[in-house]
Amino acid sequence: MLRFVIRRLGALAATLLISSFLIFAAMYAAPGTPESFLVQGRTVSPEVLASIRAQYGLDDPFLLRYWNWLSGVLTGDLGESLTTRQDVASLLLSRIPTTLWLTLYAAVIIVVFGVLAGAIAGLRGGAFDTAVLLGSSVGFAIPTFFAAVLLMSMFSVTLGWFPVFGAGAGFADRMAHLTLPAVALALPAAAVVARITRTAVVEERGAEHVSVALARGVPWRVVARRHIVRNAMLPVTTIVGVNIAALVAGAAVVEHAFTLDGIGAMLINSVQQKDFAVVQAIALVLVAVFGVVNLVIDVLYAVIDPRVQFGGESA
Amino acid sequence: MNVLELDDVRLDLPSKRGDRALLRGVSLSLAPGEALGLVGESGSGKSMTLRTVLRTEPPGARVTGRVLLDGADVRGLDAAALRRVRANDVTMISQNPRAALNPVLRVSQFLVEGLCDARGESRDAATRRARDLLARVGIADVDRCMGSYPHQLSGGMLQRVVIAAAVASSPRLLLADEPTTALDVTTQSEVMAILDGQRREHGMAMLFVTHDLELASAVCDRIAVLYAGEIVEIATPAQLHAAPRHPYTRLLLDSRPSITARASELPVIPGRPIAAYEVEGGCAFAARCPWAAPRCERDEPALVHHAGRATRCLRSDELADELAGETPGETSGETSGETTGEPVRDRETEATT
Repeated sequence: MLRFVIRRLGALAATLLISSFLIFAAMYAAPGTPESFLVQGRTVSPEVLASIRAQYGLDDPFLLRYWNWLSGVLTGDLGESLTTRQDVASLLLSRIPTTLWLTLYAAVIIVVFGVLAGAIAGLRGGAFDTAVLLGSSVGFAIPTFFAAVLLMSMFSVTLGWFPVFGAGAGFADRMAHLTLPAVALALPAAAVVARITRTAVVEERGAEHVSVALARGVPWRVVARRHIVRNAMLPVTTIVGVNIAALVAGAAVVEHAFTLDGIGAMLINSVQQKDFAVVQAIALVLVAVFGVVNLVIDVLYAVIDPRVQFGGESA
Repeated sequence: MNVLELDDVRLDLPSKRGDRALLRGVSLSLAPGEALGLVGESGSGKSMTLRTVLRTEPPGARVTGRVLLDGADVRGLDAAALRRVRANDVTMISQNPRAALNPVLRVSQFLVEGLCDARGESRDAATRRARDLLARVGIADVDRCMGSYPHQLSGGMLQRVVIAAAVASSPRLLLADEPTTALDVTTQSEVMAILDGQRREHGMAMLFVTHDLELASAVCDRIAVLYAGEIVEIATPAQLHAAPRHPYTRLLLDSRPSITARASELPVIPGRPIAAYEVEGGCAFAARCPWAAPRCERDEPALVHHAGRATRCLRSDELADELAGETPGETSGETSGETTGEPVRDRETEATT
């Protein structure tokens, strides 16, 4: 298993290297230049422009600029923001907690409500099942930004239950501030997870080992837990993992809508300002998070399904 | 009192084109410790008969008639009482052991849950018993087997595990649904021997479903032959082999390939087996029966009990001698020719040149 993890971490490093190049190239090829954003439409003499370009190394060849940036990253120096002149690493560190809490909160909502609703729907059937099916269709169909606006107008403006914006300080206040954003963020993924869980549970219910267990006199609640839901978790784990990994990227929209100061909102601003160093750093973080979450899921999968072997180590 | 008594059990399964009858009135009884074989072609209703006992028939199926277990009707039990019967009195062995075990649970968990969760025994006692049972069904390395997952064991090993689980509660009745069909031939006889040994040791009655008349004859006290959802003949293996009283039984016996004589062509029963819901009055077997008379198409035969055996045939008395002897259409000359092997060899040389 250790070999499997090490090999996967190696693959993740390779993925990061390739994506760093793609991200760098995409920013390079995108229209607009950083210096035109810096001067913000003012008429500036060509000499000043040239000095700015020289200062940031914007006239260097593409590959040299990429190499300069990459070697900085490898030594822990993520560069300096073009717009704020701050160190990117410390800028990121100050923004990460909000995003981390937001995505964790959303992940908990996905797991608890998505899996629970799906499992109960699959086991019970009837009206609850129909409600979950309908609800998941609606949840999946509503775009995140629209859900954000809807939740804000209902629970913050009309009912006044939750604060409208900001991230809050301290645990309780933070949770209160993050509830609506987390719900908005989790909604589509929870809908998908609920539906997949329901299907998996219904399918597992029809398995022969389930009817055999019942025919042996094993009580229904034990069969439901040990034979139906547990086995149904195999496909569900994969879906939950992919959806949680994607949350970090989806956080951008929600943070923007709720004016939270996370890295998602920061990413949107930086892209608009062509702030190379910040965009690249955030993009790398997103790729790394996606890779690590998937690795965790793969390891978890092998733990819950004894039939899974770690990548060809033994037959 | 009989362990099991089925009284006019009918089973209808609703389908898009109306209800389909799968069982058309099955009646049988099983004394304590007795082994009864249920034999018939696919779709004759043998598995369905078995499933009505533990009420594991497909959802939506409508069952009428009485299924008496030690005199109490199983069909009328509430959920809790049914669960107690399943945990204590009747156990079932199914065809494919690989599908019967949860693939992500260890063998120990499978065995223990039948004693612990189903019967409320302590986990420690259940584990000790499980180990003991595995040793009794001939598993050499009990520790390794207990810790294994189903995919790590062979089909034969798994069926032993299932047998161990089935006898664990010392049930009064064992339902075996083709327990060796999914196994290879050498394992089949081993598993069958273990099953038979355990049954005798625990003094259990057994309802044994199989399509293998030979196998049923070897292990059963009596055999019931099913056709199209009803019993056409019940007799001891010796009676059946010496003198079948129903044409269908006769043809079943004939369609077994013989080891001593090399047949030019395996004899088959003409026509195709019909399903219970296709029967439209008269004898269900009439369409395929070489001895069918006009009245067989018209009158429905009843199961007539006579001298310890029962037959459902209008002509069983007049055909008695004929059924006990040669098959119609097969002259003795042909048969002797086949035993010498001459015609067969001719055909083979033709085929190779």
